[in-house]
Amino acid sequence: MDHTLLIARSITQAQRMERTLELSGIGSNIYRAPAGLTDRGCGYVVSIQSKNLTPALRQLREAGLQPVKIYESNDKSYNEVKL
Amino acid sequence: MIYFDSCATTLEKPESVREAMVQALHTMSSPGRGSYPASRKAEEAAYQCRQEAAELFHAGSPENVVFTMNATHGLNIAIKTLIRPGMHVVISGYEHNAVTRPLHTISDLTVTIVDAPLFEPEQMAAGFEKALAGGAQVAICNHVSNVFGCVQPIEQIAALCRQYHVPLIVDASQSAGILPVDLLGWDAAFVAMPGHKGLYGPQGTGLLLCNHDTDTLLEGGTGSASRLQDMPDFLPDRLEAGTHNMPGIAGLLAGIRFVRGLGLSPIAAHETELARYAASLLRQEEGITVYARPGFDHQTGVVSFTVKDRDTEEIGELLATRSIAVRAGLQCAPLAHKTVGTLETGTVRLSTSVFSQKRQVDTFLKEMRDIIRE
Repeated sequence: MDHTLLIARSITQAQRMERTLELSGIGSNIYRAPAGLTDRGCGYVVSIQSKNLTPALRQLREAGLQPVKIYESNDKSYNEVKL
Repeated sequence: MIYFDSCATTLEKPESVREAMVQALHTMSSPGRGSYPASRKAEEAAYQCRQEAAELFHAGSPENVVFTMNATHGLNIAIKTLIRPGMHVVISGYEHNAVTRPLHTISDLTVTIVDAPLFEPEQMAAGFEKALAGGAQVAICNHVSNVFGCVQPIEQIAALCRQYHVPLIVDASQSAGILPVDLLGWDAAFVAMPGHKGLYGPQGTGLLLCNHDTDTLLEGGTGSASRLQDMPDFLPDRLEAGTHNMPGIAGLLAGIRFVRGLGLSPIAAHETELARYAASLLRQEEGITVYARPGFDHQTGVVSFTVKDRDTEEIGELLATRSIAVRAGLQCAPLAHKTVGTLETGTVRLSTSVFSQKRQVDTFLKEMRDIIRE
């Protein structure tokens, strides 16, 4: 299954994003961001199913949350999604 | 022991706080350091603590809730963020050394001290307005005096600060967990509080509620943006360098939940009633000056008193030998004593908690009568 990785700047932001998405029925998982995806080092990923990206971004935007970057993940490869 | 020194720290804690701390010791590592279960447990506890605090204190986002070591730590961050040499600052005449000592280190400050009489909030508010109209650039006020328990008119002062576009720092050390604290409603820049007093968490914990950009007091690892050598420019990481006190934070979370479960009004009513009762009994004794209004209005569960021709520290010692804990002397707030006129003597301070009981006040009075007659 394809996933989209929303890069959060900190664990606290990732947790806020996770809870915001959960309240709107969008499931997610938090884990440490792969080293190559964070140019500042030490970030967190909120992983969602790719099909939920649009509603997820809308919910996050309404909550004042903005991912640092967004990546599509497929078979261990990552492609940045430019909005 | 009868413990009446909750203004210093609450000694009796809910069982849930102890349990949470013990569990944290065994099961939590550090938040923001890994994806393994122990780090996740720590992350979850830390976030829940921030969220509960944000809800209780109307701080908006949990990210606006910063963990500190104590209120002093938070006040130092706030003061050193907002105040630069040469500025004009207004403070109440009841501030703790946690405010006055950091100000003392900043050069060329003009500090206007509003030394309104005890339990006269209208005069305090008027004094702040005069200072703000006169060009004060930062306002600092405690919500409740740690010496006299007097409740300051924070809502009025906050409204004045909004009117004059002046940032406000509130020291909520003696009000958090007792009176409503409202960061966003006040539009205060910062509200600092300890975790170990009215929130019934352990010592070594505190919260700084942030509604303003911040300067750092400490720099170090945050588990975020590690390649950068500047501290992160976002909260809470910007102000939380180093390893978190997870047993403390877990305990603080349990304490906040305890307070929210009881509700602020019942807590305040219980503590204030005991202090009012103590004040009424003390007043019946000859030679005792009680710093409280007859109706005990504008006051929380804190009452200070002096005994004619008796040393306050000696009285504190004598009570201690009778297993009664109070605090005597200046309570780290010489400015408050200067304002009221007790700088030379200090006071004996009795401060209650939600665990204090009426029979303990009765025992305290019995012992005080014996001491006076010695």
